[in-house]
Amino acid sequence: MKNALVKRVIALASASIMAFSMIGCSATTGSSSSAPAAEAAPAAEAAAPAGEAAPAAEAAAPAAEGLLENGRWNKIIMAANQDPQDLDPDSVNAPVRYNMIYAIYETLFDMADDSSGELKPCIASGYEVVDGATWKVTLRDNVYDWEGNNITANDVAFCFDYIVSTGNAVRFDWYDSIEVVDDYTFLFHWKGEPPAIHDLEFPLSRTIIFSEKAWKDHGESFAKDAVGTGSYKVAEFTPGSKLILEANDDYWGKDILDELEPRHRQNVQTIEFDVVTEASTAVVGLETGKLDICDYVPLAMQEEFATGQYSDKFNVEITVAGDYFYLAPNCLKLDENLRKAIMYAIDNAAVAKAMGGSYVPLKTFGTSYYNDYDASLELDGTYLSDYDLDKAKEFLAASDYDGRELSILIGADEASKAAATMVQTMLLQIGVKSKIDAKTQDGVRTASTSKDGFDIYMNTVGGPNMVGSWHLLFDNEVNSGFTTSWVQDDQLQSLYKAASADATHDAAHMRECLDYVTDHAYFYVVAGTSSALVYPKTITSIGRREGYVTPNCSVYQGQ
Amino acid sequence: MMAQTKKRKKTNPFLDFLKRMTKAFSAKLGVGLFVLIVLFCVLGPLFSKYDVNGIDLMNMYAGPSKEHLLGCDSMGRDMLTRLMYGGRYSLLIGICASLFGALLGIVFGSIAGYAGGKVETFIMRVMDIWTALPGMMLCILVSNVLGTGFFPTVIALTIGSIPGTVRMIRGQILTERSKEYIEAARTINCSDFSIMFRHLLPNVVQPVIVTTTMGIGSTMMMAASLSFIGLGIQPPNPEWGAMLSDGRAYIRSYPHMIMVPGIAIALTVFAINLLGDGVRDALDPKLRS
Amino acid sequence: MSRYVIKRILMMIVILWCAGFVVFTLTYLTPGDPAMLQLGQEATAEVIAQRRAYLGIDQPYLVQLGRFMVNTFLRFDFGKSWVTNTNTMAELLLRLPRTLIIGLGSMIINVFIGTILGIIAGTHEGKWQDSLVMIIAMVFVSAPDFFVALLLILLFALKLGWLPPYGIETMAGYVLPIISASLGGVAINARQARSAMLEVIRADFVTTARAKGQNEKIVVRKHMLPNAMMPIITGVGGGLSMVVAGTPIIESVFSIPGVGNYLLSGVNQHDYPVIWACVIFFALFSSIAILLTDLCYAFLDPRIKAQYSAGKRKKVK
Repeated sequence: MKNALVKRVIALASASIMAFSMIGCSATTGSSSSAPAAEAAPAAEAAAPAGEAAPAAEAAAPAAEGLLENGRWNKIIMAANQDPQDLDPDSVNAPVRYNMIYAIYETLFDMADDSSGELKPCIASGYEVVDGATWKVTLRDNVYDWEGNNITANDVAFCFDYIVSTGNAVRFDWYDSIEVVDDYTFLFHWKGEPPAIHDLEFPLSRTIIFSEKAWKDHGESFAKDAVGTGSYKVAEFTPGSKLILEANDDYWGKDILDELEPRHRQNVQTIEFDVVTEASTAVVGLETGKLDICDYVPLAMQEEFATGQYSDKFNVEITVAGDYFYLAPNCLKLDENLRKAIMYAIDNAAVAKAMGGSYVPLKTFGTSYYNDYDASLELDGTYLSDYDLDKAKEFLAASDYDGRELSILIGADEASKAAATMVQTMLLQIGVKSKIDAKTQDGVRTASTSKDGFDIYMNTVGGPNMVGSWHLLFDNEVNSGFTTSWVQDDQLQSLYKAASADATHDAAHMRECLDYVTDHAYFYVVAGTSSALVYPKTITSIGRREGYVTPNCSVYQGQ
Repeated sequence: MMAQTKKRKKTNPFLDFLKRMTKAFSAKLGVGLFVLIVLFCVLGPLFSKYDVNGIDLMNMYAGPSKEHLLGCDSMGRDMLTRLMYGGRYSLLIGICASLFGALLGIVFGSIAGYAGGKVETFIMRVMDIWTALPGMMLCILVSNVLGTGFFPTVIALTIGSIPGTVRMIRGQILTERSKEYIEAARTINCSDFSIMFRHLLPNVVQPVIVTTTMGIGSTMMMAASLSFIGLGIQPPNPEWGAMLSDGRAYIRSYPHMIMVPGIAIALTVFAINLLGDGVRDALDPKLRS
Repeated sequence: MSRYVIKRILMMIVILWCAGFVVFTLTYLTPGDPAMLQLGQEATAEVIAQRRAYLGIDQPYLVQLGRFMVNTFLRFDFGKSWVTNTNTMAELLLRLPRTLIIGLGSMIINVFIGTILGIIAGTHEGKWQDSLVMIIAMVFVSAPDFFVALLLILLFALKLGWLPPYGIETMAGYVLPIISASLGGVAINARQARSAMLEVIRADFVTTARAKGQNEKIVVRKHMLPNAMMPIITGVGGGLSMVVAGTPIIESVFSIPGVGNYLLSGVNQHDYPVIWACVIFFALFSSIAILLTDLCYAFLDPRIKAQYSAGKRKKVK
């Protein structure tokens, strides 16, 4: 028996060795086969002229904080509430990544940082309108990416073809083709004469321009291993965790930074974005010194930084974003009286509160963030400002409502669910029954673009300016002849066109359009997003690009 | 499978079982607690003065008080009432999914074990594939296909629990089918169906009963996990996992919003596990004396 | 024996094919349009159609399935993520170490603490030590892991500030995830070890050893423990197969960019290549783990081993 026992113990030992060696094996194969991918990051680092970046970092080492000899702030760590996921230049429509992606890449033109909607030259030096549908664009001849590739008209054509061929050409409605004239000149052929500059926003100031050669050198993907022309280079990128950017000492625009938009400045040596999806964890990060800046601190938690125990280190600024949450009744299914009944029955202050700490009720279709916002656009005395159950019941009595259950179509995110639950309860107060129909974004899209897909639809909208955000609401081109709320109204369309055309884009025309919308109860606005920006006292002035806090153009103590 | 089942004289098997079951203190505790929780969820709402989805703007995020014993959630809804309603979903999902899983497992397992040959090989290979995909992952994928709501969630959870039962039943039948009483049944010309369901099954389901009882707890947890990541039961219907997920954003300022549903899940699973332990001990021939 | 191993490996390959088929079909049946989801509400129908063509999801089921099977199992090309344009397998392997740290860390805690607790309980059957261990085990196994995770964050990160609430920058970031992932396992292992001990305690050879007047410590260490190891190996094997796939929710609670989180992001964004790669990888990993456990078993248990050397009996699980 003793023999058997010894044998068993040996067997046991070898078995556990086997078991663990298997893990070991899988771990080693893991690391060896991940080598090509892992190479990407070091390669990007190696590509950075190490001779310059490294000494700078070393010089900074003794003084852990503060200014470096080259006048840049040493390092800033910013919280990011969404994972950038990848650095590929193919998604033109991901605003969460504005301050990350567009720090390493550049576009032909910059939409001005002061949200005036003006176009400022960047990689392109200017354009001239040949005829309405053709633009001649000239490029700067001194634009180089980090690997030293010169950007030419052929690269631009390549980038546009890439965006179109991958099916990512969102809001390219007017774009037809590109014709290369010479190395630094090309023609844009539009499909017609674009009515307003912001209709060209995506081709001109969202489409990232990179070098075709670098792209091919890097295995046709910049997802991890990006090569851009921007003033910052990728030092380290771990999807789901962090992105570290390092100032590009060879930046092509170094000598003309004053001419370029502020976003290209290099006021910081190292910028680190930490992905922290939960706002409450980001707050802890600020408290413990893991984070310097966070622009999504819930309003309920900002006090400790504004007046509480951390107020000696941080400043707080309450910010309003441009995006807002709207409600669209299906006008084909709900008559005007029922729509008004619904809208008077909704108290948007309460809905905003239920949506969480970062929503504020709105009184107009847009927020004060937009440069074309005007106090005269606040719609006092309408259902947006008044919560009036008596009126709601009056309208309901006059409507054709027969007790049926209305469907409330929303996206499946927490804020939308909270809003829908609130609206559902409020409608019940006047005796209107409803059910919540929460779908993923694609499901929402399918349902909202079919005439029968919803009774009430709620979603978020934004744009380059206030009228820009109305495109998705009031423009009847959205659903081939109908608006998002299934209205077919020539009067509305002409009012919207008047308000959005560059020539007549003024408060009076905008107000006229809004009055018409509220007279007929075509839309309702629930809430805008607002949150607290918490930043260290060492930042003397916060820099922004298109409203998004941008560390590299913020001004630091001593600068 | 090591467990042997002895044939013995049965007087009143169910009473006998109950007597043995409630012998141990922990089993008594489990049964008591479970009955209490079920009563709480089924009858509780009848006595609540609040509506389960009734929003109260004055009491948003309110902590526990005399008016609201367990406080209110982000919309001022009474947590106690929601807990009771949510428990109905959680318990029902757990029980239904484990029960369906056990039933389907028994059907396939006994077919495999009794039929043998190609049928057996086929069923067992299918089960191999099935188990190659980890349970939680399969649930996530299936409920992604079927969508959210009560029945899709039950189906997703059921699918995850089938292979285990099939394996167990088949193993049991393999050991049982060579025994004398089956031989005897065969000699008196019992039909296959009769042998399978009247003679074999009663002798092999005991371990299934134990795992199914224990399984209710883990299934409930799995359902809660699904709602936690946004699948499963959808708002405004309360489900414990969904309530926990709702409270997550307020963990710092209003921890009662996660404590209430979290403790409810833990307590229920605790009761079910005690119960399952009791059932196992009561059914275990080795512990009979 | 080697014939058995080869047969098992061949079977594993077939199982992987079938798992691939199943997961592809599941994603194919998933309602919703990935192209729409990725492009957002401003995209026109034309752009969406273009994107669908680019992703190849406008083709019939069989064509898509065929392409998927050929690429995955013949060319070993798991494809690029539809959202991030990165190679899914490379990304998966990059994330694997983080998941392995959590998985293996919690497994080691499970096995060691669980076994020790189980042995204490088993050797003190019916005494207070036994009850205490069993109650602890019961409480641990009853608490949902994500709830425990939230409680740990609340206590150690938010209130005390000792450990980071998220991220993987330092190893400290792994402490809370490992603890929350291991509680249930500790309980299960403790129970298993206890019942194994109880079985051994009643065994004849232990009685014999005691009757010979052996020192009690030696009885426990030399006679009981080795024999109680079999079920523990099963525990290790079972735990091993769950190491990679077991923690998506824990990873999401602690924002750890691991494999589980990758799968969840694939599910949320309808990024099917990510789902395919993750699922096939999990299936491969767990099949290997199960195979190894079975081999250990076969090697350890003379009864099973005898079956193979006889070479005629089919394996019975």
